[in-house]
Amino acid sequence: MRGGRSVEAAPDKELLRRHAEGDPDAFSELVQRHRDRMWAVALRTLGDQEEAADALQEAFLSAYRAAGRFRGDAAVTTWLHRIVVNACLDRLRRRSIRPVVPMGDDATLDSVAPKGPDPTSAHELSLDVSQALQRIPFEQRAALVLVDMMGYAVDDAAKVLEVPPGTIKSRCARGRARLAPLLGHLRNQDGGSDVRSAEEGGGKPA
Amino acid sequence: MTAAHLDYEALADFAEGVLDDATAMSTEAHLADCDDCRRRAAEVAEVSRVLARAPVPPMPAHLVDRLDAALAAEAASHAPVHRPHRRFQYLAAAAAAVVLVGGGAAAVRTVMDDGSSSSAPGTQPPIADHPHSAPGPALAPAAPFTVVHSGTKYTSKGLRSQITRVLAKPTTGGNHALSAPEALGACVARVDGGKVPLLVDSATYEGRPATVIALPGKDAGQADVWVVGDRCSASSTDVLAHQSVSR
Repeated sequence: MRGGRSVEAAPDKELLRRHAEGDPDAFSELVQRHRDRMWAVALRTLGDQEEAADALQEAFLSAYRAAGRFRGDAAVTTWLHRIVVNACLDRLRRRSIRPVVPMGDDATLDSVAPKGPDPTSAHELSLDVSQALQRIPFEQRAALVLVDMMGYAVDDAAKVLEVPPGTIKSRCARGRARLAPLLGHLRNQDGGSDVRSAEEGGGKPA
Repeated sequence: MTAAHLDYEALADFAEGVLDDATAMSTEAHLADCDDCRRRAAEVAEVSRVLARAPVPPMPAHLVDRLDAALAAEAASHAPVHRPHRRFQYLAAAAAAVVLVGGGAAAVRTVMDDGSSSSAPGTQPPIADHPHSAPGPALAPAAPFTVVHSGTKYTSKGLRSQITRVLAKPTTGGNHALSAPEALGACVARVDGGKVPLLVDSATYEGRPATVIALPGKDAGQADVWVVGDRCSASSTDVLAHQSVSR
């Protein structure tokens, strides 16, 4: 009996079933329970609060309508995460708020040095991470958001994104490789105030 | 020193354990000897730590409200369909309300004028006749609702009083009616739950284009007010605010 209060809290699947059967309160309970986590995924994936809120809204509406088709063999959270990630991808495709870097394209890396003030606060740190994340392909970003940022196991991320675990590992590795030069300045924030190159490349000055 | 230096990708693959055994062994051997590559390997490892500690700002309250309102709208759009005679009562009441809102002004045109909204998916079928008809052009047959343009700059704080004012004013000189774009017809149908709106006001809310839709509330003294953004359509409600207002 984990948590001690589980007597009152209905499991996610129970809530989803009740919603599908017409219980008017079940779905909002589910939203209350998972909104913060889904918000984190959407915000990190899209890098913009308005966009993230729109994606989250679309995702929850999709889930609301599709509850009757939920297959009980997956966790509800896995299913919700998948819907959120897909809603984010839909937004990127439809609205092209930022160019979606295609898989395997290295050509853009030279021009993607993060710009902006030196990160001196938690807020600016997150802003810079957010900007850097937008520079890598969606598939890599989604994998890194789930594994490195949200702390999910590779196997769980694989279920969310419906790819083999090996693919998640590979996407995470490629994503980290791309981010390493972009996030270089964040590693050195305790030291000198300017460790970035002035113009391009994001590496250290020669 | 063995072989060429390793790039970030090779180092990240090595760290994640996705290299084949032979490549992994040669990578390991190279790292044992090469300070530069060890430094880059540390940079790759640091990426995960930087990502893990990047804070996420909480969802702003106004966006939480918008989400809740959108879900409420979705629930309302699935409300059970009213039986015919009940629906008729709403229509009769709404017909009177349209007169109030439009003030009987000749400028008021109806949604059906341009014919475009009659085919909007999800809109209610046009009403063929109106035996309780009051005089006035605002009551053209087959008008599910009328769009006015009151010029009100609705705000979150002022919404309650602004709605009350617009609903109470029998004639607002500046009002002029618009024919509803097809998407707006479908949008209104999403929130109206089978009721005919008291007011559909094409205006602004918090400085952005918005449509304010007032529906008959639980009792005669109440209006159920939805504020939707310009992306409201048959498939998405784009709710900016939702509240009950006394009138």
